[in-house]
Amino acid sequence: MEENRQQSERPRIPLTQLGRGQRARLDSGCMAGLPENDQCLLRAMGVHEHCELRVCKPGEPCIIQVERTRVGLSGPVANRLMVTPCDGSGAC
Amino acid sequence: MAVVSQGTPRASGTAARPLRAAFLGQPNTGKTTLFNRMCGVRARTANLPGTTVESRVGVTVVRGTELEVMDLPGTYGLHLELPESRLCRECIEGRIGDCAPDVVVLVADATNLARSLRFAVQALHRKLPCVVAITLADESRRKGLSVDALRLEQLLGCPVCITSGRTGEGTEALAIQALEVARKGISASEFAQRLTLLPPAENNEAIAAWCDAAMRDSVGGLHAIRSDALTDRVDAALSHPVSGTAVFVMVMALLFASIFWLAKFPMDGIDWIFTNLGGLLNSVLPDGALRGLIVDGVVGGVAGTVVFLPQIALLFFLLSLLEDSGYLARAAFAADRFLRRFGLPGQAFVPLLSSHACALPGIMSTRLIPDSRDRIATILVAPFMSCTARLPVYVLLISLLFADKPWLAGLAFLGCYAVGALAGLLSALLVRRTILRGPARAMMLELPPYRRPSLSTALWMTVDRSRLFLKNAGSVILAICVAMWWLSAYPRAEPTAEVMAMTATAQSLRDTKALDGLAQAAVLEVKAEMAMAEAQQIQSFAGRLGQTVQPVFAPLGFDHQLTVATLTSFLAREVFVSTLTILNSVDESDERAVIDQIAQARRVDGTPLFTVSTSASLLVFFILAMQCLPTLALVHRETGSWKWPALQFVWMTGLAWTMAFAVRWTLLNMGVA
Repeated sequence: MEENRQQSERPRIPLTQLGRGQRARLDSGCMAGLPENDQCLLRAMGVHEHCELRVCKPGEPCIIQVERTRVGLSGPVANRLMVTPCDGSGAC
Repeated sequence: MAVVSQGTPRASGTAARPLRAAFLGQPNTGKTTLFNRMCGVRARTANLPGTTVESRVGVTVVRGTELEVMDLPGTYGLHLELPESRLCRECIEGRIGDCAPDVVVLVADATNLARSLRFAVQALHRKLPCVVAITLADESRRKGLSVDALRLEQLLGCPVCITSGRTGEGTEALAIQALEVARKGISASEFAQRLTLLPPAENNEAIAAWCDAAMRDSVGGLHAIRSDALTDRVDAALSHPVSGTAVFVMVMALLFASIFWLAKFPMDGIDWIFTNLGGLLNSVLPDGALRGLIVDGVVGGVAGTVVFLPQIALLFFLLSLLEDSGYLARAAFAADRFLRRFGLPGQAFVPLLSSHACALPGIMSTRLIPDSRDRIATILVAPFMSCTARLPVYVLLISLLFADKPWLAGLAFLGCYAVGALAGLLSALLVRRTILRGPARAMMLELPPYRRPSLSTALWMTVDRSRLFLKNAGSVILAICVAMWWLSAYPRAEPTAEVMAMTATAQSLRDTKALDGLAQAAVLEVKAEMAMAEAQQIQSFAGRLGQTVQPVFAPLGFDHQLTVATLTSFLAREVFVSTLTILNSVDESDERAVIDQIAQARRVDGTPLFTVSTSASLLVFFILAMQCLPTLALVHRETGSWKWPALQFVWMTGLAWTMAFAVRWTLLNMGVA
């Protein structure tokens, strides 16, 4: 309960605001700003709600890693993807 | 297990058709390596019936029974509204021709199992006999991962085999399992039982939770994100605006140079072989229509097609290496920054670059572009890029325009390439905003791990693509070449009085047997031959067509000679120069002399054939016009419709005519003749 409360308190920010090596979590509704087809493709590539990601390279393109998959995202896509950053201890 | 034969998917219900397995999976899962391992080098690429999407098909023999294997295009999900997803969906559901598989082999990557399981869950919701093949077993073991196949079988409700396409591990067991499942099929009760094990197909969150649980049960937990500092650094460098662009330009320059220069040697060899074959047949066959058909039509046509093979083979070999190494996905991002402004995706760069060597390999390599609108837009504009076949025409016309001004000639040469590329990019922008309108597909690309590229895979791909090119494009091109030969060879021209007089004089000189006389006779005979060729050019169906069409080209300053040369160059652009040499009875043995003599050519009224305004308009016309029958034939094949080559021809030729007219009109109004 406490963990969930802490998660909901953390602000959601666009993926583009994360720095190199930072980790974040995708929550429900994090892809709402993207067209439906793009959401489906991202999920199919492994970037789905509740997954944890790591920023390998910020900027254009933004390269993220989810599990063992690296995905390159163009700037507009990364900017519309809302993430919840993990805290300093690495907890998401 | 042995490999026997190959071919296109055979129709079900025929006595010869073996049981069929379809390999289905996401990209970068080792699916094609597994297919190659099972079916060997003799597998073939074939278009699925009624589509332009290709699938590799092979046959493997297991315990004396044949199993036909289809390698479907990689797709991230069966539910996606993407061409490859739609095709896989329709294929496994038996909605394409007679390609319904008897068993679906779901290929899952052992090193990225959670994602593969999500894909497998979707597929298993269809009432199809399935086997799951876990690939890259060797790589996963090196990474310390192990998969409990028995537990996965219980969770998925279908057989699971651990395999490795690279080492061959488990491939025979997979073939046996696939054959058994294909024979057995799936009953309604078995399917109902399978559904009770799986989460609902429409509920993403339930699928994700189920896959997490399955990973805990069968692999010991989700694969944690592991930092890879080296890959991070390389990715950062390759996608940096400066270093990434520099590497991209260097790699593409090497690719371009290889296609341009390395392929030159085998191309010269092929040219030499066909020239000698033509010479041999000329000396063996009796003079007449049959010799003309075989030597000029068939051998000439085959040579015109086969000569492009080294470029195509080299391009696909190098592309396969680049793709396998993991670089191509990174390169697409580097090019995307620039091409996106013109409505094209980053993946369009390689086809456009290759088209500078020849549009044929360029158009074939558009298969790398996943979105069909992007792909067609790239195919439509690729022939605007200045190919090598245009070079002889550029050399001739620039030499006429800027004789003794090498710097201006050099700039003009560069300008030809720039004008072609700019026209292509602006045309792409236009089509993407009109007939191919639609949201640009945002770049979201999986960046596969960097790997040492497989030479054998590259060779298989090269052999396969080359065979496909020769079979499909070659047959159409050959037919067109024979038709064009017939149009320019018939009706046979009667020798003119001038030709007869020259022949008679030559004969009388030969009769004198004096050395001077023999030399003069030889010169006269060559002149008679050229005059005969000119008469043939004018009196043939193609020549008559040229005279009929000449009024259309009159505003560009073309007389009937230039019109005929322009029309005959529709077969291949480089024919333009040779047609002009024939029409003006030029000795082709000395290139400089050819240019000088063509520069002196006159029209029927005695005025110069090549004025500045005519040469400039002709140059602009050749930069922009769609004058390549083989390209149109290939565009038809690649798009599956005559609509696109027709549109391409009308747009490019219409634009070429308009721009050529504008250039000539401007020059004339500036007082330049």
